[in-house]
Amino acid sequence: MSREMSPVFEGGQRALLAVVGGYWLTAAVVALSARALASALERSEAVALAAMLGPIVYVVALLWAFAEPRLQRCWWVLGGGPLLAYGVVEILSLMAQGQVGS
Amino acid sequence: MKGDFRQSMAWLHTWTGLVLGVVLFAVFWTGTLVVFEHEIDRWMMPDTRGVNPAGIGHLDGAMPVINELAGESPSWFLRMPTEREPAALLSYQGSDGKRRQRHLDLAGGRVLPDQGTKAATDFLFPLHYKLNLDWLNLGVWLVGLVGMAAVVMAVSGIVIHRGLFKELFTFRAHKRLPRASLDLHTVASVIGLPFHILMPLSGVIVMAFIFFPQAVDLVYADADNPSAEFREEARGGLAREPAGEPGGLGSVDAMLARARTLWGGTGPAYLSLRHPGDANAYLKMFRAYPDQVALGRGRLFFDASSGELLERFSAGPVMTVQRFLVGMHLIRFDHWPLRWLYFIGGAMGCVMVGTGFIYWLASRRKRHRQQGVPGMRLVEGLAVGAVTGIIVATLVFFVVNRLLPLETSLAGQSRAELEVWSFFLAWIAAFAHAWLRPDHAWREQCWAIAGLAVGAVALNAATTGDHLIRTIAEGYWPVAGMDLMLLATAGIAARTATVLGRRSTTSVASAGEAEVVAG
Repeated sequence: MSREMSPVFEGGQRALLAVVGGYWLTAAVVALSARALASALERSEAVALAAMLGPIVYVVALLWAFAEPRLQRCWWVLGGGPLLAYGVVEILSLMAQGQVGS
Repeated sequence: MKGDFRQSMAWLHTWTGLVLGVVLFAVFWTGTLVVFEHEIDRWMMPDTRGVNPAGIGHLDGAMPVINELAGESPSWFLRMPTEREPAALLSYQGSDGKRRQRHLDLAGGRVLPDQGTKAATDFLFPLHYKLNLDWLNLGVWLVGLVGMAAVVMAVSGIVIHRGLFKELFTFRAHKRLPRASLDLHTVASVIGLPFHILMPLSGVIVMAFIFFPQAVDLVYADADNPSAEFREEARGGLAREPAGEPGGLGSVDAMLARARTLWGGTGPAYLSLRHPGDANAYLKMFRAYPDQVALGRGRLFFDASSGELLERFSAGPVMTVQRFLVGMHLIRFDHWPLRWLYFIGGAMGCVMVGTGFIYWLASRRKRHRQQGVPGMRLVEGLAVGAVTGIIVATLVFFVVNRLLPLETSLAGQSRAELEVWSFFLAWIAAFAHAWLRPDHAWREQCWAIAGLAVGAVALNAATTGDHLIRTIAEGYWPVAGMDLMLLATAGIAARTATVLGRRSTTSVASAGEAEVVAG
């Protein structure tokens, strides 16, 4: 599939996946990491640590979106990944607000 | 992407530079300038020159002046004077509900004339982190993306380079433009590499909680106001509602003295009084950081009438790391050698981005012209506007600051707003000029830079009398330094224009020397 696509069209898809998909995936990962760390650290400290690591995760996602040879894989990870990760964030959030039983 | 890691990184490096290069240069340029924002402020606001920076011990005497300006405001915010910022700055809400700011001479107990300018701290600095774009916070997010792109550029640049050690010592200025500009690009990038990576990263971390609010919302999901509660736990906060009954203000100087003792001799950078005139009024004090990198190890809250210490906040270890990274970016400490190193790093960053553009143009021009690839002229125009264009706009901003009388206004725009208009109109004109005269744009804009810079120095001498001979003789370095920097810029621009003119009348591709952009 990648071989017939014009480089600009493929590059455009990767850019979209990297910038938008990469951000949402990073944000969800940061949120989930903060939640996990909050059991070991004070809440504000956990959020701070996760948020500081976020930019590094995002840079890795940005680079990977262009380094990964298979475009389809990019779609799965940076397109589907955020949806999955955000689903988990939403469920945990609703649980914390006491609206969904564990 | 093309099956080869190095090739995909080269493609990424090139395209990111083309798409984001204009904003990238703008962020580097404004960042480099605001290393010396206070000095630029002195130049642009002559009435704040030579003010006695004594603040501590003079607050009680200045209270009547402050109350006269801000007595009706729900709160006021005072920036304390320092050596580099000798006038205090009072921010408050005017009777019309709009935010106002006035400079005060605390030791003299008087209000300074309204300078009618945003100068560096209120225009160039916000331009750096939000591009003057407030709508939907778009500016902050775009600069954040550009910051991440800068790190991506650094990593991809490292992947595609050939030999780090050899590159440090290679600059073949006599060679043809593609070779010479690539050498300069590589040298500027490699020498400043730690800076070019740490500055964008730390810059994004300054805004980390704006970019990742989801973490706050999830961890504080059971709170009424997650972000407010996070802020209180992370940075300290006291929210005391007004009592509705009148109350007085005790001795602020006494509270300041108490703060200094608690902070080991350092005074506050900012004071803020909430609910003035109310029984529940409280005074917030934020520590100054002349002696350390981390910003935010001390916040004090005093009861306004009794002077009693209500709360003292100290950040946890992880937040302290974040505050250290913030401090590393905002450089509020007193350390001239380090400050100059930051300036040199920023200037190298500007050279890096500028030569990146020039290299792309020089290496593609012949081939693309032959093949008739569209967009070449677009990129050439973008490059000129991005590099010489923003420099021209900045100098126009300085010149207009000296030309407009105080209290000017036009079509409902205040003097400060008119200065900002002049910046953006000049920038747009530079882009238009670049697209209309592609073969001459670089050279002509270099001459414009030289002329405007010399003009700015002359106007400073004419309008304030603080000409270079006097400021150097008296050792008044903020203004002397600014004038000298302007003259240096003029010199470099004139030399570049001469070389470009000598080589040929055509554009950058035929010229033999890359344009060197220094602050």
